[in-house]
Amino acid sequence: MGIFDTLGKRKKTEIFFERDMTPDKNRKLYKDIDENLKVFKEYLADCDDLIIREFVMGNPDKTKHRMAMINIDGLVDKRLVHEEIMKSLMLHARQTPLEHSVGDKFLQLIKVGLLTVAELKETDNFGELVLAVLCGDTALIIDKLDRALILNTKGWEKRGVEEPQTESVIRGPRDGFTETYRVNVALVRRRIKDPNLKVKTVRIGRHTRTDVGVLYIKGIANPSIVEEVLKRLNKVDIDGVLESGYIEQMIEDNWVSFFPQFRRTERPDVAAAALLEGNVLIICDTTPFVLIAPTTLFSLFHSSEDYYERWYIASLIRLLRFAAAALAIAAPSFYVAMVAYHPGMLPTDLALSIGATREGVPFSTTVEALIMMLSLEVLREAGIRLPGPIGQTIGIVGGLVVGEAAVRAGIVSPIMVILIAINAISSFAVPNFSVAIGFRLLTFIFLILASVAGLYGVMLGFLGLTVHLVTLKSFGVPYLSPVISFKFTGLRDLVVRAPLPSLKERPEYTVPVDKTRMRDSRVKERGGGEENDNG
Amino acid sequence: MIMDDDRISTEQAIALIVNAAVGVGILSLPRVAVKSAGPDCWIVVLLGGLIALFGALVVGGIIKRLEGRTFVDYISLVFGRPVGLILGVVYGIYFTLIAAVVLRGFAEVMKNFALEETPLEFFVVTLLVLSAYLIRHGLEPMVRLMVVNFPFWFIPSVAMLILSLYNADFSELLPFLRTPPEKLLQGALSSMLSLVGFEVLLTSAQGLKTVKDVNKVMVVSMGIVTAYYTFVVVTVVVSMGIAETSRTIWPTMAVVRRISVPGEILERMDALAVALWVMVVFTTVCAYYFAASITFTNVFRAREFKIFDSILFPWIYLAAMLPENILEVEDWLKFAGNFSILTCFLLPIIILVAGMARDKWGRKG
Repeated sequence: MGIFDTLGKRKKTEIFFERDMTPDKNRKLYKDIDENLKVFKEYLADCDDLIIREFVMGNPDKTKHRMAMINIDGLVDKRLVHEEIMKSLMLHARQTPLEHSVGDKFLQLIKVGLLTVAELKETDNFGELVLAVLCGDTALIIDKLDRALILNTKGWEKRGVEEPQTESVIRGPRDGFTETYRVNVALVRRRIKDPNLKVKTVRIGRHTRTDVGVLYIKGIANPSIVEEVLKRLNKVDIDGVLESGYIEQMIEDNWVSFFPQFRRTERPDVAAAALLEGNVLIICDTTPFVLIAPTTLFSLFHSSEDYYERWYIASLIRLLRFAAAALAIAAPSFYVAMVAYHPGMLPTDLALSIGATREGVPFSTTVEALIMMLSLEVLREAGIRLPGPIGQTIGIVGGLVVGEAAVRAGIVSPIMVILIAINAISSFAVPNFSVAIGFRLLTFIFLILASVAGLYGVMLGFLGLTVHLVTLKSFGVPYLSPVISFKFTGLRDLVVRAPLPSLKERPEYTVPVDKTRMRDSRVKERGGGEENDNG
Repeated sequence: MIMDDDRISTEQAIALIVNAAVGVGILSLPRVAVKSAGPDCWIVVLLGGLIALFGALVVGGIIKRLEGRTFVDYISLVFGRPVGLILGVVYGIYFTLIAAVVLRGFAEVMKNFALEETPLEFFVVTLLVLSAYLIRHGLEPMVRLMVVNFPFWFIPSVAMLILSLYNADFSELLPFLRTPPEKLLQGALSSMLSLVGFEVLLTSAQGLKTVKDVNKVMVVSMGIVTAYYTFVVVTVVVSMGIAETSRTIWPTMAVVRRISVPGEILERMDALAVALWVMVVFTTVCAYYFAASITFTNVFRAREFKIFDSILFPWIYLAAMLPENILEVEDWLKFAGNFSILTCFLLPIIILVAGMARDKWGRKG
């Protein structure tokens, strides 16, 4: 079975995969603590990071309430376990008159009156208990009781909220998502204090059991998109999810495309803005990259800063990005097409100077461009992998020394060096890296087309690109919306960014339930603001 | 899911007709118009637009009567199944033929102006493959492409033609109205052939969201097409002169060749113009290719039109490669033009009248 068969099948299967993440949910707890512990040790045999602490509650002389606390070393907050669980049960319990018989009342007393942990729940089966322990909770097993308590003591070594590495802005908040799911959800919730902000969590990954959260604002996001996201997430059956990229590739519409069908961000403000526009967020545990769906080509060109700056500047920068994208895709191919096929188009002086610089260069313009572009890709990759200071050195050595030497040696012409440099810089002016890298690939395809058929080849590439883009969809939303009809309402926030007070409606592509974004509340003149407060 | 019903809005229908109509005609229409009416060429184009509008409204009338049926089913209903099938096949062949002729004309221009040593087959096959791939996805994505591409060819083409006005001589358009009326009419008929394109909506009528707006669609789209073509003819004639225009095969290209770009960024624009023109041709080919596949699908009552997408591919290719040289291409163009008088005017009028008669008297029996 080839790759196409497997991928083809994924689309056809309509069966909902029963993704029961908890092992042996039917296996109930025993009354006897020793037996419970035996089963537990069976489950987590050969797991040396397991901690089982047996103790007696209250005064060991008087009472005989044996208990055991189970957790994983390193996943729990040690201070919490010491202060709030052990101390409460072993020391403070001495002051509490205890019942002699263990039963519901006893359990209730522990839950309500003794344990000073913020979050706890009860369970009667091993499945839930084992999973909870593996997630960083602490299990409390009590003798003569066939139920156990799960205490939230999650607290592992984690990175704090830092400034995002990939999406830096000049103006805007500096906090970024982290690797912890709850922190990430909280960062969004902190911005949208609305009961309609819904968080639905699914667990994905047979072995990793990663929390994947779907966030949306009820009343704005289109329910059918939310449903589709959840449906697709529920279909995913994979051994592990280590980054949101896994999720992205498992549930995207078209796996052939060069274009990402999700927007990804490290910035909570971008995520919140997307929610307010009616998008759905997919937050995946263990990664700071949050996915935004649905996505259009144009939204990938937008940056959060566009809305924080004044609109002239924002519009200008956006126009610049689109121009850079055009350069990034087509600059080398245009040059090759003109020099190799249509030299008549060039002004005579330029044609002569190009001819003069190309004198002594043994290769065709296509080969020349390919050499330069490939070496630039290698430099870029090497620059990323090497540690900071060395990476910069590579940039200087590669860019300046090798480039200069290559021109001197007559392998490439200086105009080509300029062109490829501009081309590479342009491709990184696009805010979204996954689009930028897609553009780099397209540049090669366009170059080959241009070398085969000149400007006609470039045009074929352009047509092929648009054909692909119009057929592409992200969660049922056309990738090129709102440019799909001769209606111009969506153009206010597309290539230019109109003044904020005029963006009264949410973008169309998310098909929001509630379209209105703001009422007319602009202060017309000084002092006019009070009237609005009353009305 | 959300917008996936493969139906087009009124605006999109306008885009479809405009893109289907504007095609190879851009390059040859000035010559056709000047040959028949000299300085009154622009009147000829306007008249042609009026005639085309009449045909378009007739087609609109038919579309309003379809009531969810396919075009072929409707003819079968009016004339009986055998005649309906024959007419359906006639339309199918017509659409196929137009797609082929447009492709061939395009290939000839490419060979002449851009890549002299490349074989014609290369141009025909590459564009045909792309359009076959596009129309597989259905009506709505195809129209979406037309909308997306529209500014990319429309704005540059208008800009280029305006640039060519630097040595315009508007006295070329004088004397005014000295052409005899019968010659005007004849010219209008022959220039009208570049303006048709509305007939593709007949077969795509099922995909229309708002059928009641079809007359608006027709009027607006024919208005855009006529205005654009009049602009093209006038700029070409005033910047090149009557005599030269009538002697050049593709006068518009000759005009574009002379443009000098302000700032001397490019010395000659013809290759660029041809490259942009590829888009125009591509949308026309797609529109007719799609119409042909849909028509044959309806004739054979097939469930999936993608089969006919593949079946028609070799036929369009063969029909496009059939003419031996450019003179034969011209003959084919003339033949296709006469064919389009039949399919765009005569047959629709007959069908509309018969349909109206049937509505009035047919139901009694």
